[in-house]
Amino acid sequence: MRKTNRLGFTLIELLVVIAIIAILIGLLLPAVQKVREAANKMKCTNNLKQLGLALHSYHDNNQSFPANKNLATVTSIGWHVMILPYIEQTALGNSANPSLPSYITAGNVNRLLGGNKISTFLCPSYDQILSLSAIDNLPNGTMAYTMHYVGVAGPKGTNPTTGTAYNVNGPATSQAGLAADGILPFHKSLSTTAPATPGAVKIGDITDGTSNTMMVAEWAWQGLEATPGALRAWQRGGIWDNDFPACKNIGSSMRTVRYITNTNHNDISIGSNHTGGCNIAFGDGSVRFIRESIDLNKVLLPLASRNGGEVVADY
Amino acid sequence: MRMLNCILVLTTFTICACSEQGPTRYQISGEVKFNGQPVAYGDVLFTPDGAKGNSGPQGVAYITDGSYDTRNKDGKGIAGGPTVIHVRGLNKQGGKLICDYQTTIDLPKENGKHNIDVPKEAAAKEFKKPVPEI
Repeated sequence: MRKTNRLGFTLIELLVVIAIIAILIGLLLPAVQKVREAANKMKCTNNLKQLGLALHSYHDNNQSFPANKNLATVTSIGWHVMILPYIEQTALGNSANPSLPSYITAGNVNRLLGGNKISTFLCPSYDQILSLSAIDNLPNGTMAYTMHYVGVAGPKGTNPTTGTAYNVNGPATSQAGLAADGILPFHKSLSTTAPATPGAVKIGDITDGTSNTMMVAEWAWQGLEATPGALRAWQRGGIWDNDFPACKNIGSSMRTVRYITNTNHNDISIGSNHTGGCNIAFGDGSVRFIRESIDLNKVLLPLASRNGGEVVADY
Repeated sequence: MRMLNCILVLTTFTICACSEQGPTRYQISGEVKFNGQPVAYGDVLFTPDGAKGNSGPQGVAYITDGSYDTRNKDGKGIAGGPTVIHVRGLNKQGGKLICDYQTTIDLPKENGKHNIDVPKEAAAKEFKKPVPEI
């Protein structure tokens, strides 16, 4: 038998090794992408959990969930600003002034808040983190940050158990109206005139049960900003008979209604870039991943209402 | 020459393309006219009418040059049955709202065509705008 003494590899050996490495990388790369998305989703779940707990802490101290201010012709600051002290942003929270509007004048303290990036308000799976609204620019020329989580103002449609329509304030007026039957509505009951002090919801008002009522939902899906301007600065709250950036009406399935014109801002669908559904924080502070294909009339609307007395179908 | 003492066995992994089995959807298309004129751009929302006990997936289609089709980009098929049709027409993409119309109709549970004639009473009202909302 002939024995060869050699120091190197043959070409065949080298190619085989390279081929094996290439196959391993090919197998690994998609897995890495999946893991990254899974990590993003987990981070997002955690953000919502923090927001849910912060809203409960706020309720403990103030005996109600954050109330909106009616500043008549200008947008007040929203619940995102009011819970700042409860997500360890006390200094920022103290710098806000609830009696001033959330933007309008350039030097307004509330408007300047928008320049701070609060990662708890941003879902890592959606890369549009700046406001797209032209009036959210800051004195230094940059745009304010936006938020990817909106409060549930309430359902818009028909109660499947009673057959009656859910309460919506001013549905025929600008921005598709303000739903009133959720945990974070602009005003918690029907009113034909602008309420002097918009009513805030208390835990006791959630007669459907806090674990059966949506409180904060993800609002961060590719395509919602079909027209620039859907995403607005995170400090912006709401205004009577007009837009309510901090919260949304639930009247459509996830990822269905886009912002195509500036008359339906409050109706833009919730949804996420996660596969197959979105994270939702419920009134009891729990966060659940709700499938995109759940029934709108039988599940999503009843879950959005706090006091409809519906029998929620299995979901 | 020494033989390679490794034999490489390649296993082919069949990656299962698992798409979520959603509810049954039907495709619908048609023309949209406002006051007899084709609508340049807009969206049509097909919501199952909860007031008539209907439920199912919500459909959506975008209007381009006077016609819509749920098969087009960003469209979603409809549930059929009693449906609330909500049309919002714009004078152009990214333009101004010209009509906002809502109607209820019983649509068949099959793929089909449905033309929508928006009456001129549904013209968009001038909304009061106390602040420069964008």
